[in-house]
Amino acid sequence: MMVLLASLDSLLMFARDLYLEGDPYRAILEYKRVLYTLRIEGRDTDTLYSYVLRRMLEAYVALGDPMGGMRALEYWATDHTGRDYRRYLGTLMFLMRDYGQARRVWRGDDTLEAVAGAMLGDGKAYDLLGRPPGLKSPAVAAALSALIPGLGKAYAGRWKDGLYSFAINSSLALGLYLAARDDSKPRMAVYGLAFAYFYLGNIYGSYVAVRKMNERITLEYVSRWLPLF
Amino acid sequence: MGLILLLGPLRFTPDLPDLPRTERTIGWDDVFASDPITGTLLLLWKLYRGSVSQIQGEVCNFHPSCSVFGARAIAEYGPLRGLLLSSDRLQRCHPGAYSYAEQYGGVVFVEGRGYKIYDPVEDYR
Repeated sequence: MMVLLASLDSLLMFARDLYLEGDPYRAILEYKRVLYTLRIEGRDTDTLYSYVLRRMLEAYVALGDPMGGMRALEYWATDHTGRDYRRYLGTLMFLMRDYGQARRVWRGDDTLEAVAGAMLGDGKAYDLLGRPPGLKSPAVAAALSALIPGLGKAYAGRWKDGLYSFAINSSLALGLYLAARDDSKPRMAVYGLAFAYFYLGNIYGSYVAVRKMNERITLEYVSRWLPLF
Repeated sequence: MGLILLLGPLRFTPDLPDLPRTERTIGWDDVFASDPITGTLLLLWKLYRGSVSQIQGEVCNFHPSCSVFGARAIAEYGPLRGLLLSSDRLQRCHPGAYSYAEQYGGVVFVEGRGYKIYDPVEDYR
């Protein structure tokens, strides 16, 4: 029995070393070997089993394959209603950016529910987790871009995009003005359409840029509460 | 003459290539029947791809390129949001865009096109 325990222990250490070495694929195989051994011994309700399962899922995430992790979880988890199962399943869904599903799976766990809620833009989530620093308002970005094209992008921290937007929009506005001054209707139509296309795109683009920036900041902030890692 | 030169390299195919959901096979008839505005915009895109794009060569900084992104955005999100997204993408496509690559999907090597910023339509859901 001692020999077997030592063997499992060294297998686990070997798997962990493989993972740390940057080879999560082989680490997964070793973790599965341990899980298999524990399962045939009837120890699949042990704390150790849950620990190895978690390590294996972390390796799947490091491999960039949360979907594979979900399949593995489905196969290797013995209690599909247990707390750990729901925590890990929700995390994998979260990593696949399916925040709505993750929130449903995490129902009952206030912190994790708030983590998914924060990604879905639920303001109440910040009451529990605190507000991530550096969030900006997409509406302000859109308003700034409506005022001066490109200003909203600069507000989002992308001043090069802002300068380029400003150059395009001001050139087209100048073209439109010159066409109107010459009373040239065909030129006015062409410049007018092009200006409307780029001007509206600039407003929408600023809105999207800030929304995506907020999503990145929030994701980085809430990741500390994820059960894996 | 200019029009002939412009339309010369056009190559029409019965199906739209590179649509976002490959499990859906959409033909021109389907597109026009279901949504004439989307159909017209995608036809304009087809004209651009067959003419200006071929003359201009490989100049876009992104993958998929701005024209493909625009067509996919229109097909995926409808004409209004698709046009707004394509306009925004055109305004983001400049040499300085590489400094924001980490805010997109990073830089990827595309066969025949070199290193490009990965910015798929799916990221704008």
